[in-house]
Amino acid sequence: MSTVLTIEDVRNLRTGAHFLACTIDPTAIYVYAEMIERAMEDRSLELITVDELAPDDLVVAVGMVTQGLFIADMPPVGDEFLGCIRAIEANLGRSVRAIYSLAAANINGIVPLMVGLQSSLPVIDSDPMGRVFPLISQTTLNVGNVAIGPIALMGVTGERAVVEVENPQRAETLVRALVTELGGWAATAMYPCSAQQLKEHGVHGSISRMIRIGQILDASTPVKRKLLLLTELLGATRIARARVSHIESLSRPADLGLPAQPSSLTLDDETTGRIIRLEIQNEILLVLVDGAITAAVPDMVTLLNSEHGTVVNIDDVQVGDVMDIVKIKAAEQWYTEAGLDLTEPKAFGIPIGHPRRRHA
Amino acid sequence: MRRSQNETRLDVAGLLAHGSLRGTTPLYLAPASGVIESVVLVSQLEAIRQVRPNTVVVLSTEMGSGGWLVSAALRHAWERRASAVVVAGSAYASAAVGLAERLGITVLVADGDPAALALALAAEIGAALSVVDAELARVARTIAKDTTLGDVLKTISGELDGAGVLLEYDGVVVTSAGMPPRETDEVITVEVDGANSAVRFTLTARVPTSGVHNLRLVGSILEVATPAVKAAWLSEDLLSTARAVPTAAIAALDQDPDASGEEFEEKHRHLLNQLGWREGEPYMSLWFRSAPVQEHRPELTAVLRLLWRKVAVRSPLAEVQGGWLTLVPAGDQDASTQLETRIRTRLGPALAELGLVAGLSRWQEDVPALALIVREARLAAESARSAGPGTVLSFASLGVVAATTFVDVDAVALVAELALPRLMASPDRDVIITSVAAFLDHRGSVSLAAKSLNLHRNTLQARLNRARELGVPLDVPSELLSVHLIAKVLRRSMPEETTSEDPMENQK
Repeated sequence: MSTVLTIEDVRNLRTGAHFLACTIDPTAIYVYAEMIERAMEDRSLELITVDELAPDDLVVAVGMVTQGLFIADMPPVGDEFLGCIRAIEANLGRSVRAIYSLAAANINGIVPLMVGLQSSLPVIDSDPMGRVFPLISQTTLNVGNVAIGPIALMGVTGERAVVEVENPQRAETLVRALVTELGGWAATAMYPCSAQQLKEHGVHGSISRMIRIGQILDASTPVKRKLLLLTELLGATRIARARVSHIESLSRPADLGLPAQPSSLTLDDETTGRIIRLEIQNEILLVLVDGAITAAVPDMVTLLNSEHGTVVNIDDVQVGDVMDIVKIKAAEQWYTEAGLDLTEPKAFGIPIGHPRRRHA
Repeated sequence: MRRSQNETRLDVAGLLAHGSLRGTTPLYLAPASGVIESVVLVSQLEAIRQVRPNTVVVLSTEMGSGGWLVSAALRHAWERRASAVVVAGSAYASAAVGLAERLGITVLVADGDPAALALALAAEIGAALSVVDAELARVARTIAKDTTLGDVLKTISGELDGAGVLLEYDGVVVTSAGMPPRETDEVITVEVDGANSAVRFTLTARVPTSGVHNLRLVGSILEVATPAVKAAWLSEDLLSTARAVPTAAIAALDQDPDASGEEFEEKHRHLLNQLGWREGEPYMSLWFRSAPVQEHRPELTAVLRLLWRKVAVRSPLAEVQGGWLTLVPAGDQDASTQLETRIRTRLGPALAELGLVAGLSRWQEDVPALALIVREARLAAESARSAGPGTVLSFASLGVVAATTFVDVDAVALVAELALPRLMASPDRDVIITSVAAFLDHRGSVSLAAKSLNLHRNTLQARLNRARELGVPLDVPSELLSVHLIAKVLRRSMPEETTSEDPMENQK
């Protein structure tokens, strides 16, 4: 059922996109949300489910790929994504019927709305991650053997590239190299596939879920109530309420293939005395409680201000802050053997398997 | 042994002070002692899940030393009760100190290559183990010099700083040495493999929990001592068998039940003298036998001999047809009473567990023939069987009542069924039989019998009349013995309601 999104929805989506990727600087999300709100003044934005498309309709994922540069530091001109979609259409000789998010959190959770407004294409309420992952190969479409290519990239200078590639790992390398050359970030369109393929292998309801999260978090209800509602919506569990006792950057050797530097947080649960350690690289990869693995990617872990229930940015964390550490189960596809192969801690250079593997 | 145990026991504090851990810097030292028994060099976190307790876990350099890794390693090591975790020197490791403190596990930072440290530690553990081997060899040599079981156990106990050492058969302590057992003791047991396949003997050491004993070492010492225990036991048993020949001979020679004591002594005087028995010396005789009918257990003789030593060391115990026999010198009545008390207190529980009973002869001033006191003891033992395992019965307390032991109970009951059908069919049968028994027990006195049953005289009289009506010949003197016997036998099969002064009943 298609929905016309309101300005209120966009604001909630912004909060939701931030909640599901709390560790990243949200400036770009806010910049984009503002642009979308302005654009909506004279255009409407349609959110559809994948079922509303014909099975053969061509759909494509849109998203930013960054390599060391914050998008807010060098904002896009505006035509980058349209250029990418045109390049895909030219390459495949078919028209794109709808777009979807490359990831269901952070900036890529909100970018498709802008692209939808610009291109008048409907936005599908699905994505191939159900969260955000740092690598473009870490998708449920990849798990389902949907081809990543051709990939179109366009940088801030207007330069455009189309990469015809099949192997997702190879695509990763090529795209990373191109993004560096294109100026630190690039608008991309990838995983062109049929609506049927997306239906079979994608994660659904991602955009509406972020809106719902925003509704919960932005409401003026007590923190306790917010946590309760989030638990119901996402199956989230609070690992601990703890105070930050130690911050380390460069806490692990950096893997060349991965963007961003590793860091760690140590927190003390003051009521139980437990010591909690968060391993971070772009996002929270691992939570150890007294040295025991309590959450590990692909589980999502996010931090909430214990007083206000607002999302905490890792960059702003200081020793002494008290926060709730919340664990959210990722999409079911990620807990299959193939899913864990792509996204468990080992994929991020931490040589341990996900605890779910042992019970498989 | 204490000195050498300190040498063989490695711990974190000791090795930090003057061992292979000297080159490490402790980030956190757990207050617990941190015994070290092995070392593992791990290159994968999962490997820590398999380490034995009291292991030093050394994280290899290739594993890295990130804070998360040290945290997870500490957790695994703590779960496995490792002695310590050694990590390569790095700035990250310090973040895990808080967790180490929380879990109470020692963390050491290796200044050099952790692998080299693991090798040095392994060598040190190996050296300590070889000291253990040398120590065990010394213990084995020491114990081998002992010839008696008591000495062997005493030596083992001495090697274990006086810890209690027990030899048990089927749960019965056969012999022991060292400190008496306490509830808090750590119990280490090894099996002493018998010559036959049925293993029932165990050698147990009970060492104080708080002590410095390395329990594995205690187990090794017991194992090393096992052959000496077996050898000492076999040699002692052989010796005892030889010493018991004169005793066995009396039972073997006394084959004619009609012969009187004098006739026996007369007939075998020469042989008895040869065997060392002297005429006119007072003895008490003791006969052991199985309470229920049991298959012959050859090792039981050896067990019983060891137990018997708790009562009388000098009197040999002989295995004879139908049980075991021993003759104990007893100069006077007191000596005989003491002997009986000792048997009850020191042997009673063990006899019960082994399913045995004992019969004791009377002490008599006029020194009866050996054959007679042996017969008394045998009869007493036979009577004791009906009272169940563990019973020690003296012929003195039995007297002529012993005769009833040999009555065929089933046959008497059959006689009652056939000869007194109306009594047997009567619903008040049990009350009548109890009354008749009490009446005859009190030599026909209705008053005394009524008192013993807590009844009015008239009530008892009425019941006796009822017995007469049912055909019990209470007024025929020549049949009274038979009636009394029948009443006794029938009462045995009744539920126990009434108290009785019947000595046979008391045996139950």
